[in-house]
Amino acid sequence: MKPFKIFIPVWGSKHLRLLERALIKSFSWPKNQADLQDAEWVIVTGSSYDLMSAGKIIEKVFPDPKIRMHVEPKLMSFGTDSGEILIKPLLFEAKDCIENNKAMLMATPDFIYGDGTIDAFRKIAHEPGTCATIAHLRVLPTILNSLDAFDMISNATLMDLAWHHPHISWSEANKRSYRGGVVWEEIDPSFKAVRHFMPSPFFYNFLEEDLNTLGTGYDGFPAGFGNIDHVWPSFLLERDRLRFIGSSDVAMMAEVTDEKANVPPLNEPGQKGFFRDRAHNKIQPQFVSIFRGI
Amino acid sequence: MNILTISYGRFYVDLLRNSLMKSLMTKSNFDLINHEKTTWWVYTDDEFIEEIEGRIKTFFPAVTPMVKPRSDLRRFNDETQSALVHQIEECLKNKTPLLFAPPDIYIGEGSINGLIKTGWEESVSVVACHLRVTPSFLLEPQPKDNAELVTKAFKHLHRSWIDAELGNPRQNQYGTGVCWQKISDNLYSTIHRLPTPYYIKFTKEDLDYFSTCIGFGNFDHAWPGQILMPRGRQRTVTSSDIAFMVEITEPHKNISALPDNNKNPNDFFEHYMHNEINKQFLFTLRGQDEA
Repeated sequence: MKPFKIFIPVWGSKHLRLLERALIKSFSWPKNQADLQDAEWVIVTGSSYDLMSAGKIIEKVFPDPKIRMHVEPKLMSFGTDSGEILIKPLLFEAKDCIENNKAMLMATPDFIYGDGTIDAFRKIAHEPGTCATIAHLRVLPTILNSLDAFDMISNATLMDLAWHHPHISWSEANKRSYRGGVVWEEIDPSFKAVRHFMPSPFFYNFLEEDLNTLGTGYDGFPAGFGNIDHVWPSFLLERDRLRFIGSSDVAMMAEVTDEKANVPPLNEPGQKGFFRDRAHNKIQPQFVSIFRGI
Repeated sequence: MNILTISYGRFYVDLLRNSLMKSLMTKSNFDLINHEKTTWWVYTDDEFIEEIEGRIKTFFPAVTPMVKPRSDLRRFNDETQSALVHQIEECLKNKTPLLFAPPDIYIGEGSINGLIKTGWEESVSVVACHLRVTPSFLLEPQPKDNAELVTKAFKHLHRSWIDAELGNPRQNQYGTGVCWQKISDNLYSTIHRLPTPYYIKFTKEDLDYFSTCIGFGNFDHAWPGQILMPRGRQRTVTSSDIAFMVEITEPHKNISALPDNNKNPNDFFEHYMHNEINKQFLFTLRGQDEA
């Protein structure tokens, strides 16, 4: 399969701790670790110190990693819109992927990747230009204490754990769906049927056209990281480039989110659907994911 | 709920008993089907009416059987279209959903629950992929759940599905709309460009549509792309864990022709909206964990 790079934006002590306890912890599980052996690591950070720290965390699991770095000091400034800063190194690396026929895995430090997810992404998004997308759930940081106990974990067990530590955007998803973009229904105690209005692509086979799509501002906003899930999937869908995986057994991810962060407001009376109406917001919820626990 | 089954000839009447009915007698499926609010419409040849009606009364005592002769289906040239249009009228009148249940399918245990839960909203239609198996599948002990059904199905794959595997030199996506690959020991990922609507909540627009379209073939070939998906009414099952069916198919039937040399084998011969969109949303088949 095609070589790929892992894009990791990480800065500050909080996210470095997440890098170790969430992302790299999940990358240490057997199938993920095997898939990442030859990957290139792209670290986007705010200082040389954070860069060194990130490198050491990665080296604990992946000795002698191939690292590319982007140090953007503005990331360390409070109040900066990090999305507007991150888009530049992302586009730089995307261009490198196009020129050197590589894929890219998006891996923010707060993500827990189910074991086997990367392999699934690479197999399913194998055609030129295709990008793998899944609906992922948000979990509280308390999950990390449970995760420490596992050297390996099935996706079903991880899913069970996740539902023991759900972020309010998921435990109350149906009441907050207009802005939250998620509705779910319990099929039986082990299965939940999930409809997500704006799932994000995580594994990319970039094409030249993406440099323009991702690098353009929309709706009055400047180009930013948010284009990845708010705008880009509609372009992918229209060009037969999206590959959505609806089964958590094949691919799953959980995003560690502070209790009071990213809380969508409650739906107001009469609000239905989702507040955005791009093509992918209309198509995506017509495909029901299944989240399977044990 | 209304159920619609069309079953002509001894072979399909036997399949109705040995495949469809048998699958609907598993616990969870039975509990949801065997209900006084369920009416089972079956169209068949005159000589099988009594037999089928007797079976429904015996095995599904709470269900109301409506077993009718195929000669009733004269409204359109296409008999199945006639049956469908009549069902849409019934469903609209009684405000009931329809379970589309051909006699040659085996519905996995728990799938009726999955279809109903996935299709809980008004006016939606739940579509799901099914897999073709040879009649030898019916000799297997009854699978206890969908994971076991997937594992057993792969032991009896019909030629059309064998050829649908990614990398097969006879890969037949152009004709079938299907392409699958193995992800890991018990997981398969499938492209399916025209999954079948199985659990449907009709609207008046659907009645107008099917009353004026060319034939029943529109049910999966065109209607989802012309009506369901543009209206946001499709609900697609993306995992066999929610709902999974297999279709019993004789080995010599439904063998897809390969495209001409000048056609792209990764393409499909139709390009309705749902064909283009469904291709991008993979269906996962999960078999049993290997011991």
